[in-house]
Amino acid sequence: MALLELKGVTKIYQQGKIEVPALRGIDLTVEQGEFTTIFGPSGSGKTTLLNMIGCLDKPTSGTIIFAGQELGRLTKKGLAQLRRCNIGFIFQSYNLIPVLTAYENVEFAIRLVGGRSKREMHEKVMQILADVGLAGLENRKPGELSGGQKQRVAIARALVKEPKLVLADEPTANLDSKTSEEVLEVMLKMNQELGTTFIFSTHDPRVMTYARRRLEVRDGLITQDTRGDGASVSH
Amino acid sequence: MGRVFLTKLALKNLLRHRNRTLITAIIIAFAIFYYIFLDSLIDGMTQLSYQTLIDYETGHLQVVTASYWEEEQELPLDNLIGLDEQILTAIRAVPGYLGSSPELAFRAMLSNGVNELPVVGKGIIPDHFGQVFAFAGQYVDGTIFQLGQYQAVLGQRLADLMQLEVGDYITLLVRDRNKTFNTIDVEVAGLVHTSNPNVNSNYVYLPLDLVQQALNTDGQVSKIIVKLANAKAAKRVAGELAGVLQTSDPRLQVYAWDDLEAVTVARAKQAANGLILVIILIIAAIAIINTVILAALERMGEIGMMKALGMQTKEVVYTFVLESVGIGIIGGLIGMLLGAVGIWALNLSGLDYGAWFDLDMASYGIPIIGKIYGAWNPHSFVLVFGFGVLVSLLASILPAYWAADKDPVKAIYHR
Amino acid sequence: MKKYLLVVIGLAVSMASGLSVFALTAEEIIAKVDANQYITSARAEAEMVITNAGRKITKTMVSITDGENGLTEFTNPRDRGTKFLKRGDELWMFFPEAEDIVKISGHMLSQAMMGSDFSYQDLMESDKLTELYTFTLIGEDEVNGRPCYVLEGIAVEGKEVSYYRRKIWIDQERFVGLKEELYAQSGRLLKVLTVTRVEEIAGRWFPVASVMENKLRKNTQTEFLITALEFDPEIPPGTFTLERLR
Repeated sequence: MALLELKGVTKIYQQGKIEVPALRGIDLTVEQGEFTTIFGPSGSGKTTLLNMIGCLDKPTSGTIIFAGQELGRLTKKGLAQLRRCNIGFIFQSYNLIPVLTAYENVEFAIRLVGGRSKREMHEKVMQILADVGLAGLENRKPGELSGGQKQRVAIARALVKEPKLVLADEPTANLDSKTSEEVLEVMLKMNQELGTTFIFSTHDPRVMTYARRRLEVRDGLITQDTRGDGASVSH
Repeated sequence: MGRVFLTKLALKNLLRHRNRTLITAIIIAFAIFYYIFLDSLIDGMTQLSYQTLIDYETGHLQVVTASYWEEEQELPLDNLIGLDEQILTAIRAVPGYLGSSPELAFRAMLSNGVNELPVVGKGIIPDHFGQVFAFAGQYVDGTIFQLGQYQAVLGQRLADLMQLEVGDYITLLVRDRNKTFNTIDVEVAGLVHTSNPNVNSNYVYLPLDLVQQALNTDGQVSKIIVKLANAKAAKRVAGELAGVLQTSDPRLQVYAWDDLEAVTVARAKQAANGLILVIILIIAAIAIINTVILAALERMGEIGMMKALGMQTKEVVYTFVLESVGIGIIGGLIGMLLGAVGIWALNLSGLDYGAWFDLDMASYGIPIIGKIYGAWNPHSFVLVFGFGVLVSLLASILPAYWAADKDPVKAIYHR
Repeated sequence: MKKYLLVVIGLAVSMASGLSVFALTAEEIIAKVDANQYITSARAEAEMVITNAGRKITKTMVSITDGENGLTEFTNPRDRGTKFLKRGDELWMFFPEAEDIVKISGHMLSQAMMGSDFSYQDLMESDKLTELYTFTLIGEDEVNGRPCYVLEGIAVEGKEVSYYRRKIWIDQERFVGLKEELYAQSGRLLKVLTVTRVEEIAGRWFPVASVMENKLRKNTQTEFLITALEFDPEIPPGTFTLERLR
């Protein structure tokens, strides 16, 4: 079963009296374990698409099925539940909680999910922080970390609960090239070792080179869908 | 989501924004301090005014006929009480009895030969009077008279107004039972100054036998004033005594000092205190709401992320509310501390109201002269502290919901 | 007001030579004086001059009475519009600035009226003197050259009167009071009323100018002068009502 299925998804925003169509009919299937980028000019609707996929927003029409659940049927609470357990987010602006240490920021995410013993959670947090290369920096607050380090915390936070899907919106936009490389390596490692599905939205060509599947979005529609092996799929 | 975790988060947020937390807390602290201080001051004033009444005018109980009580304004010479042994025995038998003073009150024109002034005269028995009232140390000049002597005692203020000194002679023009004019000529034997303005400016004290003779009311008095060991027991004792007295004379009634109009008016003034409470706490509520909204706006990104990660709205609200309660508690503690310091300072030297404002407090219906001290009311502290915390909690709920309910997407990209 | 409307009902006492003046008893003399007080109705304009420690204040007024009730309105600029209404035993006062009617009763009656040496109570006494006092003829005297009977009245036991003892000098010919001394029960002289001018109006002898002194206060006196007097005037109905007082 595919992880994610979008059929005829549209999204129209109301801006005062004007209707703004952000997505105009998306059909998409994503399999477990993909490392996929979505690219396109700003305003093309790729952020909206990402939000749809991330269960952060509901489509105006069409269906989205995530892990066998139809999103349209879920309440806000249901969506929150879904996100909590299955999806990790990495945003351009990190959005770390400034009063918490790196450790606590990551712990936060796994605590929300619950269902694990304290010791287990502690182990997982320490492990993921080590994996992203932040061993020894657990007790630093975001104010004491560099941009790259903060993004790594964000990644650790996204990954600590071992979600099915990780969505990253421009994760390298605020990083220098060396740090970007490092961060991408980590994500690739996670993808290969844990089988976590990664979907990126990005301009950054470096990210594109890592991806095995590339989706182009223009004017609210998918206009290109190429795989690493060169094969194209029509939409 | 663990309550403990959320609580820790709330605490950390409070510490992070130390300035904002402190400023809001201080606003609340001042509101609470103001209430505590004012409450203490008003209570101090009220207690002083009660004491002034009790010590110089009303004692704890007054035994009168019910009809006299109703007409007391007029100071009539009807419906008086005869000094029966039966009545006096019953009075002396009440629990906590310390003394009783019979009194015959009447209206008179005080004349010094040149000017006339309307006053209230009181015929008293000096040693009984001394048992009930606190005049002993209040003599500015001279002393009290004895029964049978043609002498009087009045307030220094009144004497000054009429340019009288100890040893001068005065005439009191009175009307007896039949409204016939009579005069009482006496020598000024003593001048007093007390904290009760009525005593100082309006009353003239004379020997009871002299008064009874001049008014043709032999053997009778307007009322018998009783002093008890315990002021709080007055109402209860009054009821019991009235029951006993009415078996011998059904006209009799006994009134406790807290039945008096002046006292109930003072209590009404305390209700106005509650109004101040409302106003003060509106201020606190506004401060809290302001703080929550500011904090929320600043933390929009975090809130969005937390919701994206799957945190529920109510959990986000919980953190904000908890922070506000924390501010309320801090503010409350500071406020109580300031309040305690304020009352302590007030009690050190007292507030001389009259001196500050050059007012005659009597014209405000409050019979006090002299210093006001603060009263300690632990229950006021607890009340206003609890109230402050409650308001902090309630005031934060709506703005917290406003912040927490935002769409995670919008919140994350909120700039 | 009443006292000053003493009227002599043209009783000419024939002074037949040899007829001793003591032929009239105290009761008879007072009865004649009392009778004079019972007028049916009158309208008067009067002036009151209050002297207090050298300062003089003059008040003017207009009065109407029907024997039982009286309405007085002040007409001098300072007090214009202030009115008093006496109805039987009750006295009401109207204040024009406050537009307020106040009943004067109880101890307020002993207060001085408008700052004068007359108290409200003084104005209210309307019962016949003979009913309130027991009079004795104690002698003869002269006041301003007029021969007078001197009578002493002691309050009747149980009656509500202000002055325990009154000493009155009555003009032997005209039966109008020329001087009165008012005493308290203790014997202290409280007030002295002296009539300084009488006039014959419509066949009655009238005290037109009199002076009241309060003996408990130094240097004060009040002069009362009647400037116009009309007997049995036309009194519109409803004159002595509270509504009319406003």
